[in-house]
Amino acid sequence: MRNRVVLAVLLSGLFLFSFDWPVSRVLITATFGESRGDHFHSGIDLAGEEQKITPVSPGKLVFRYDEGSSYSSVPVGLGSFVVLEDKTGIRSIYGHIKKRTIPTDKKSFQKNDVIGIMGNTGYSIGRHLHLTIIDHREKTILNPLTVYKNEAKVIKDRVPPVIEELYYKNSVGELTVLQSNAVVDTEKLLLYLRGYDLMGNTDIRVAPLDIKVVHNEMKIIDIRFNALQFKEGVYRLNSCGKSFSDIYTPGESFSDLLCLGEVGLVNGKNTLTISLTDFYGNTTSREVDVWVGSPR
Amino acid sequence: MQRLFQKKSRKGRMGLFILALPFLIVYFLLFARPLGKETRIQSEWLINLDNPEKDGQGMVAASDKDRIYPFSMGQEPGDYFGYFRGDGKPVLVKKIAEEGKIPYRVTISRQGFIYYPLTYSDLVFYDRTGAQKRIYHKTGPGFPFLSRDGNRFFMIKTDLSGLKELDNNGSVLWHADVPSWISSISYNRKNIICGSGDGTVSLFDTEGNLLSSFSLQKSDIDCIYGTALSAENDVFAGISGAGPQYLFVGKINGQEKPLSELIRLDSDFRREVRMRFSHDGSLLFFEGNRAINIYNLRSKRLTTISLPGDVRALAYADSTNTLTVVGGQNNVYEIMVVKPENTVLFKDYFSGQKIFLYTEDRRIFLGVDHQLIRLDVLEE
Repeated sequence: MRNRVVLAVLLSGLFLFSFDWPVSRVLITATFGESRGDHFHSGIDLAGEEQKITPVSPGKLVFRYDEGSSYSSVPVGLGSFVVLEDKTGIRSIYGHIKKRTIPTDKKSFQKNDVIGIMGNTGYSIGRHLHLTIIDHREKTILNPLTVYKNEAKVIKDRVPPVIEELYYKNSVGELTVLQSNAVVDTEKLLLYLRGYDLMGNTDIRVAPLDIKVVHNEMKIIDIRFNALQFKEGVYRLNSCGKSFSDIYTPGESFSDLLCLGEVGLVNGKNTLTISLTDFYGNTTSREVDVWVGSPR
Repeated sequence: MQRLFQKKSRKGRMGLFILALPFLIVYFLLFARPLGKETRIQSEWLINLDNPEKDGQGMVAASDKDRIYPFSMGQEPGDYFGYFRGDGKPVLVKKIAEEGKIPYRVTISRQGFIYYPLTYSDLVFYDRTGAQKRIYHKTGPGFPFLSRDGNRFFMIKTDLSGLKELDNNGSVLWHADVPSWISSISYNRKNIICGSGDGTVSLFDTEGNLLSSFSLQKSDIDCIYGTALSAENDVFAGISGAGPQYLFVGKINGQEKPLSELIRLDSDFRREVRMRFSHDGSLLFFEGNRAINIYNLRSKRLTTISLPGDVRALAYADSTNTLTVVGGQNNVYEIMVVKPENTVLFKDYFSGQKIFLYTEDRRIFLGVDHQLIRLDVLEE
C-alpha cells in the first residue's frame, strides 16, 4: 500500500513535467512488462525508419557505450546505448542505437541535441529504439507511457485487448482450458491467461497495462505494468509485488501466457471476471463460472 | 611484420607513417633496440591473419602440452579471433561473420570458444581447433561470457539487469539480478564484483551469495565506471560517480563495509574504464585522462604516465613486473612498456583499428587488425 502511495505521488509529480518523444515518428512495437525470457521488458520499443534520437528531457550524460568502438567488460544486449539524467533525477536509457552515431564529446544534451540514430545493434531483430525511464531517486523503473501526458494525441488506439484463453493448473499440474461452468477438483485455482493488447489498428501484440481478476464481486488480483523496483534481489512490479518468474514461464521470450496467481474458491458456484485494460483505457472482460463440487 | 605498419591509411597521419615506415621495419625486424644498459625489445615472429597458411607458417594442431593463447581482435564482421602458439604457429584463425544479416560474436577462453548469433539460440562450444564440443540448450536469451582460463561460464541478461553462472553442462549454478544495468564486471576464481549504473557495487561469491553491496553516493552522478578484482588476496577497486569521480579500493573480507580507500580523481569518464590489478593486488592500473594511472596499494602512491589518447589495451606480466599499455586516438597508437611505477622501458607508435594485447613473462603478444606479432622484453 505504501508503495502505491509513493508511486502515485511520484507519478503526479512527473506529470508536472513535459517529456518529449525521443523520435519524431512514433510506432510502438513493444510495451513495458512483456516477457523477454528471463526478465520483464523494462521499457518500450519504438520502431521505424532511421530517425534521429533526441532526449526525452534535457540532461547530463551518465553513461555511453558504442558497440564496436567502446570497451565493455560484459557483452551488451542493449547494443550501443546512452543514459541521460535530467535535473529531477529522471534517467532515460536509449538502446540499440546505430554504431558510431553517438557523439563522443558531449556530456550534456539539450532538447533537440541528437543522441544518435535509431539502429539495430545488440540483441535486436530489427531497427528500433528501446527506451527505459528510471526515477533514479526513487530507484523505480517506470512504464514510459505513464510519463507522456499527451501520448493519446500521437497514437490513436481504440482497439481493446484480447483474451484468447483462460487456463488453470489441474490436480496433476497440467494446464487446462478453463471453460465457463467448469467443475474443478480444487479450492485453490492457479489461474493463467493467454492474452495481449493490439497497438492501434496494427497486428503488433504488446502487453496490456492492467489485468484484474474479480472473484464473486471482490477484486482479488490486480497486475498493473506501471513500474518495477529492485527488491530482495529481484525486480518486482510495484502494483502487486510479483516478479518475472511469478508471472511468466522462464525461457519463453515474447510469451503472452501469464500466470495471474492463485484464486481461493468456495464450494459451489464461483464467478470470475477477468479484465484486461490497455494504456488508452480500452477494456476487454470475460466472465466464467467455476464450480467446486457438483453444479446445481 | 612490414604490413603491420601498412594498414589502411588514415587521413592526415599517413604521411608521417610513410616517412617512418622504413625505420620502423628496420627497428623491429633487424635490430633489437637497446634500452639503457639493460633492457631491449626484440620482435620474434609475425602471423599474417589474412593468410596464416602462407609464408611457410602453416596451421598446426594443438596438443595439451603446447602453450596455446586465445586472441580476439574485436566483435565486428571481419574481425579475427582464434588461437596461436607461443612459437608463432597459428592454431586456428577465424573471422566474425554476419550470417543472414544476423551478427555474430565470440567469447573465447584458453579452453575453447562460443561463437553465437545475437538472437536467442542454442549455444555451441568449440575447442581450440574449432571442433564442436558441446551444445548448450535453453540457456536463456542472455549473452555468454567465458573467463579467460575457461573455468567460469556466465550468461549476462540482454538488458544487463542480471547474470547467471553455468557449469560445463550448461546447468545454472546460480543467478542474480543487480539494481540498474551492469556497467562493469570483474572476477577471479572465487568471487565476482559487479558495478551497476545506479552506483551500486555488488560482491558475489562462487555460489552467487551476495557478500556485500554498497554505493558511495558522493558525486553528482551515481554510476560505476569500472571494476577490478585481483587474482589473489581478493583486493578490489572501482571507479565511481561523475562530478567528481572517485577511485575506491577494498578487500573482500566478510565485512559489510569492505572499503579501505577512497581517492578523488580528476577524470570525468562517462563510459567504462579499463582497469586491472597485478596478480597479488599490490598494484592497480587504470585509465586516466589520456594517461595510464598506476596506484601502489602498499605505498599509497598514485603515478600517472601520459599517453597520446585513451587507453585501448593494457596488460601486466607479474613475473617480470612489466606493464604494457596501448593508447592513442584516431587509429594512431602508442605502445608503451613500463616498469612500475614510472620507468618507461620502451615506446613507439603504430596505426591500426583493432587491437589485441596479451603479455606473459617477457613476451608481449600484440595484434593489430590482421596481424599478430610477438615482442620479447630482453634484459641483459
